[in-house]
Amino acid sequence: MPELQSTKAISFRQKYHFWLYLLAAFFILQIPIISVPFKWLESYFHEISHGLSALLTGGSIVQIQLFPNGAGLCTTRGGLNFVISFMGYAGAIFWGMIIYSIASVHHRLAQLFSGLVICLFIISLLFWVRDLLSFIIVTILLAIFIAQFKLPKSHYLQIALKLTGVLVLVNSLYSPWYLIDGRSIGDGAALAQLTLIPEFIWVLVWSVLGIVSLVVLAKKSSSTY
Amino acid sequence: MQINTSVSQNTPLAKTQGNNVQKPAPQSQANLRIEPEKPSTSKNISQRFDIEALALVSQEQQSSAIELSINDQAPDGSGSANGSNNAKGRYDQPSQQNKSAVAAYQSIGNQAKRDDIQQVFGVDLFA
Repeated sequence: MPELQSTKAISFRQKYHFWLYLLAAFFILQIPIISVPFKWLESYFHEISHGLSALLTGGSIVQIQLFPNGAGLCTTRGGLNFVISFMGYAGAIFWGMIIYSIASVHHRLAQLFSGLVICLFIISLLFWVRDLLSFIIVTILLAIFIAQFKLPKSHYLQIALKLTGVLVLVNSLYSPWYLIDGRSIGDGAALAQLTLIPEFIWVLVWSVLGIVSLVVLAKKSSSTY
Repeated sequence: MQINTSVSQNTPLAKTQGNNVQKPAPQSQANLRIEPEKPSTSKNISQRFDIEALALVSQEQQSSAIELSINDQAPDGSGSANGSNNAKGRYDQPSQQNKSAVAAYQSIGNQAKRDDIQQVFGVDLFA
């Protein structure tokens, strides 16, 4: 009888583990100092998505800047402006989803992916970060990923990566709404200028993308068990 | 690459704000001139007090309107610095509407500077 109860408890935890990660992410984001590096992380993935989009559309990255308040700036040359502007918020959502999905598949794959992200941080530090403040912030993010990589059991790395993925995803759900400030600044305004579609619609598009990603991950994780 | 633009008080926008604040004052004065002409009865003693209170408010509004017009006329826009009185200083605070107007003005300034940087250096900025 106790065995049956413990099996039931495990299956419940496994079935709803995505929601537990989501709950943990919401809780962590309420803690003042602890939440800050995760905001930086979302900001980094946002800016690197702009940069990678520029590279993929034939442009180049000039500089990536990160600020302590979670803001960021990516300076690019060339490339398709529409894709580069859109991929900031969409890219952060994509990164959150990829991190969680890959960490869920297998611990070896989680290790490999973690190694790739560490390489991306190092490349960013070497080529695209040109100011001290951004250098310190990216170094802290690199240290977090190295610490996760060096966890004693690979199972812990999977848990840490999943939580990181959900944190990036939740942050990227919030961040487009900061554009609704009455000022025509940011990716929404740039897209509005390019397409004549109002900024608010772009904010909605990014928000819907984020919610869809959360629902897809939730369905995927519950159907696995 | 951070772009900041400050708006000084002697910009056309600042003058527009001054005009916005002044506008309601003449209307209230017109209402007050009519009220004392009504015959006073024993029933509306409270109304009399209201009229006195309104007269005080109108006096205050008048003085603030005069002060604001002086500020607008000052070429360097430093007229507000002369008003050390706290009661007078209250009228210097811009309303929410004016604040959003300044924000809109600043955003246009930022956009222009951003465009300048993009043209000079041939780069695109994404925040």
